[in-house]
Amino acid sequence: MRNALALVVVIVLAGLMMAGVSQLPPPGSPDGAVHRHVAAHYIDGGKEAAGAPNLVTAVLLNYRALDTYGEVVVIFAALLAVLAVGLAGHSRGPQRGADELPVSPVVDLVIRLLAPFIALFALFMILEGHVLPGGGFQGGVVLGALMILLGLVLGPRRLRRMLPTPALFWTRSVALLAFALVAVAGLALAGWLFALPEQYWLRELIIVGLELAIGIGAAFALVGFYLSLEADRHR
Amino acid sequence: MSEFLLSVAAALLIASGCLFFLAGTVGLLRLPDFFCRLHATTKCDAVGGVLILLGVALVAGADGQTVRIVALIALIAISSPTAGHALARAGWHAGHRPWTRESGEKEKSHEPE
Repeated sequence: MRNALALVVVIVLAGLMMAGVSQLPPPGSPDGAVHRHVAAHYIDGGKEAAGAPNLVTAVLLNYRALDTYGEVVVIFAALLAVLAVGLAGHSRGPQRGADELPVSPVVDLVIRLLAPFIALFALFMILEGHVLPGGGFQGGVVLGALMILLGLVLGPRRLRRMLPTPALFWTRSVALLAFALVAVAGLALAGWLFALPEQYWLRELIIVGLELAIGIGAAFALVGFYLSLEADRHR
Repeated sequence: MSEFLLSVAAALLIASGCLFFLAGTVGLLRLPDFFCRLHATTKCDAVGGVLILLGVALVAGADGQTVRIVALIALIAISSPTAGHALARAGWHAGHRPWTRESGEKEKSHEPE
């Protein structure tokens, strides 16, 4: 009975989808709806309007800024959930890191050798994100991976000591705060959320600032995940 | 003529690089234990990747691209053996012991048909 019902549901849904797909314009046709309205508008004025020479960035941080804000909130919420779960288990006594292995001198040397280059690459990805494909999230992930790598070599305790709680507090929430600030400033000064100022250099500066905030936020969210999983391992 | 020779050299380098990747993959699938598999797979990146990149550098010639390729080769030559070393060390400390013919025989006799 349930199988028959499932079959009916599948057939109905598949029929609806087939009907929808059959109405689509042929892929790549220049007079499809997607290519005539918004996309043409973005391509014509995107660079000036959005303050980003790269159109993907223009869409991500300006036309769809609210959407990106949502993504930032999702990452932040995930971090909050992980931290909350970690806190809930912390009452079981002090942490023990008894089985910690000394780091191999080879790995230590190579990571020290490569770390500056990785950091430079992360920063490059974040800052060049408004000119080239790439950007805040990707660069932030590279930066976060670098810090996790350093945590593996130096030991999580030294990583934790390098990142005092106030610093963690601000770096984790910086993306959220920056987006909220830009949104509210736009609303106050121009009348709608994420409105950017008239001057082009100011627009570009704000976009770069947002990229930087996303990168730092993503990096420290990753470090937060790592530190709290690491603390969990010793319990 | 020299261009032809260059292409042939590049093709040979790339083909032998692919051969290393093939051998590494077969080793990953067929060798008996963690350390043997690691031994096989680290050859892929370190030797195969470097050979392929050398071939590509020959094709690119004296160009800005070649500088980047050389930098990539340096990166692989440093990072890949380090990763292999770190994995082997972690495996040893996690309790893996290298496979020997005796231990293999013993395992086989324990296994049901």
